[in-house]
Amino acid sequence: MDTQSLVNHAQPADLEDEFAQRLADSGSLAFRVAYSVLRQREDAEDVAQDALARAYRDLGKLRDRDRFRSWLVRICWRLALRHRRAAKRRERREQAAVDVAPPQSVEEMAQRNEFRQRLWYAIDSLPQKLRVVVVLAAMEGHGVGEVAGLLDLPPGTVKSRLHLARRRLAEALR
Amino acid sequence: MTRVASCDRWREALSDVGAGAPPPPGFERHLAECGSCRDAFETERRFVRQIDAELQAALTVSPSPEFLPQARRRAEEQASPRGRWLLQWLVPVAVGVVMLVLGIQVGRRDGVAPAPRVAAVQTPSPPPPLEEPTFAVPVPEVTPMPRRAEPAPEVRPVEPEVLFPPGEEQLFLRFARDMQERRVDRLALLAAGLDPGEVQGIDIPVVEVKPLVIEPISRSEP
Repeated sequence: MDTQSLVNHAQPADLEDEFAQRLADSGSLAFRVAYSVLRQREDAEDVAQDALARAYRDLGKLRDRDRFRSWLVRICWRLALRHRRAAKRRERREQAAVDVAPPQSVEEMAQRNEFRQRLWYAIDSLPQKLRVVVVLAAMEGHGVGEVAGLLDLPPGTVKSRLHLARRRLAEALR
Repeated sequence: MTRVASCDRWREALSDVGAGAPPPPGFERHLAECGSCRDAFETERRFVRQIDAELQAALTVSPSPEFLPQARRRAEEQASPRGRWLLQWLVPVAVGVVMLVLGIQVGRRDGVAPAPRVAAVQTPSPPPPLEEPTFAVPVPEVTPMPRRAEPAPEVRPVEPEVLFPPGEEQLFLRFARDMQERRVDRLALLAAGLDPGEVQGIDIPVVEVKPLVIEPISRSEP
């Protein structure tokens, strides 16, 4: 019986130990992925914990345990996007209810010279496949190869998406 | 080719390479020869680095100390036998209860007892007075109701129904018509035990016909 088979036939106690180790290794990554989408610490922690709980629940179904981090990143990214969409819907309803002023434009934010706010706005404007690449590349010192591994993409694809994302960000922020 | 035209040709490449794309052939040679393009490229590259640095700084965030213990607790709660039991049993039980309630409701609606089907006639208007009506209207025999039957006919309290023995409908209608027309039929007088020759005038009291109230038969009864 090979190693993979042993892993696949792991008992619940082994799964718990494995998950504890995975949690220590990847918990912060899950939080940062959620934070990159939500930019709210409490919301990010909530979503990341949800993603980790789901990962633990379905850990036995994951055939290739080496892909745990990329699997977790995808779960977390998806949950964070869903959470943000729900929050935006809620926000729109509340805005419609009280009829407040529309959100600030990029120009208004530039006038306030808040570079980071403009940066996040520009990142939010990117297509999702560019956004996830640029965010993961800025996280935990990930190189192109690591981002490619997390997203199950060829390194060349990650590289071209990364440079396209950076160029669009530069154009938006100039 | 003038220098301006040559620089225009590399303008796109400045942004691409500054953002991390591989330099096209001849790009580096042009930078070595052209000071303005070199400066523009450096500006572009610094700007992209600033973006990267800002993004890295923004994402160098750590969760609170409670994050990991909470995540573990939450994961264990979701995967606990109690949680599994809830997932596996709560939903089917809830569905079963809903189905049971629906079944009871449907059964009650279908099981409403219909009124006995008896020959009936509507009294068109209050009958004229009659001296001591001697008719005893027998109640027709009520047969047990079928469990599933047609809906009960609507009982109208303002228009009472009159029951009469089977086979005597025509006679009864005739009597009712006579009472409406305030005339006395010979046969009716004979049937009432009166001598038609002695009758001079009849003071017919108002016959109060009470509406038929049909009480539903309880299902608990045998």
